[in-house]
Amino acid sequence: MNFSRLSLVPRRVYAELDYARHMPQSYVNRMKRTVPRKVYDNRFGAPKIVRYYVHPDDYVPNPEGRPWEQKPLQDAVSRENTYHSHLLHNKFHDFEHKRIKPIPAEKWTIFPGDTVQIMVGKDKNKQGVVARVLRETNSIFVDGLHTKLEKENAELKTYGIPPSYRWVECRLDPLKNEVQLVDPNDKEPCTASWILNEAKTEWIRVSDRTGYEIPMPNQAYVTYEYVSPSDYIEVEGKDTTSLQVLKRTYTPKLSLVEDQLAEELGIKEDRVPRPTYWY
Amino acid sequence: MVRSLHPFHFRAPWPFVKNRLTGWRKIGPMVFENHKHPGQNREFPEISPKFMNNNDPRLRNYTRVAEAGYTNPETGKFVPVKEMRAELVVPDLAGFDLKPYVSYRTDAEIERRRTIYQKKVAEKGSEAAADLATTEDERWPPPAMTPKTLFDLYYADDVRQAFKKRQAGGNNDSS
Repeated sequence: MNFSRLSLVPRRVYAELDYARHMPQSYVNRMKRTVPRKVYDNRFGAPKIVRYYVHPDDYVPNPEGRPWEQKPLQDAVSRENTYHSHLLHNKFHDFEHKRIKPIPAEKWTIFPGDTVQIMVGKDKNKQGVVARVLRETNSIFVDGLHTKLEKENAELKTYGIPPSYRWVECRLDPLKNEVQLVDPNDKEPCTASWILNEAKTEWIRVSDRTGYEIPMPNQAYVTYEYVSPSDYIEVEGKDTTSLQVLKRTYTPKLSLVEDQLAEELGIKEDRVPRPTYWY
Repeated sequence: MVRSLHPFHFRAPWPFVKNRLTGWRKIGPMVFENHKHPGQNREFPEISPKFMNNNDPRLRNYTRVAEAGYTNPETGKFVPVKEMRAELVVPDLAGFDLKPYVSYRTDAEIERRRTIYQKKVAEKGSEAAADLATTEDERWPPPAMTPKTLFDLYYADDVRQAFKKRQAGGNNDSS
């Protein structure tokens, strides 16, 4: 049968890896501002009309950071204000169409902690470790390399406080080959692809040039919550332990859910139903 | 007190029209409701029962909680009905082990079980054969509850016995 054959192909675990994969969706949407501002419902059966702060089609992910960071949030709020003012002043609001097409999750090969070589810019041909990866905008930030000098606290110059400077990493695009994985065998840049291992139990990254496996760095499994799932520190009183969660307590019983609940909670049915007739 | 004699206050009872310098104009009762239309820019002219006074009175105040009874149409008095009253039955959660959130260590445990089970399935060739070699608690996904399982647990024995009895009874009967 078809479904049993599908279950024999192992899951692509690497496709779900992300530093922020356990972020609550409601929080992320609130930071993106793609939440309803007002819902006009109860229109006598007509479909409801939803007005958003930022329409989901109008949202463009910021290539410099996550939606809850300062600059992307500022941009989202300014887009929200533009949308609202266009509505009030009866102006045409064009939804943003320019957006970066993300590489599909199955083909993504560069993870935080990998050694990569930069192919463009002033740090060309230098190798570094990946610090951040933003998959939805194909952005890779290499720690300490491909940086730009940025001024902070420029507005405090009037108070006599000189502005501070720092080197900020700029994004690199793997699709345009601005950054390439380094093959650990010969320390040269290469491209990688995902293939099944010999035992057909998991997916591994192999270099296209040499054919050797490039092992996954431990940092790729790190999230906001834990360094690795088995090292997660449980919160007392809020987290159910895995033993409790996976315990089987169900015993099959030949009764309706309602009857079983009534029995357990002590709800007694005193009402006598009126007589019904079949014709 | 001064009463205004402006023609605005002496409108015709039904719509007339006049054609003056500014073109065709309407004199008479004009109902402007669009200032009450929903929408920031009054863009939704659909009728909303919440504010339209000329709607059926039964549609107004529909955001109230459902009443536990009905009004007697003859006397106009409210008749409470016991069955319509909301009763919350909350179970006692003392000694209840499940908490609001699930620890992430469960993911690691599930992955472990899944890989072991998939290996067994690949080894033995089918899920049924692998099930014989694993305990139900070490299997992922857990065994599904099918109608056949319930039938086997509660009815299969009775059906078997009834069948045997009928067979035995049938052998004794000549017709």
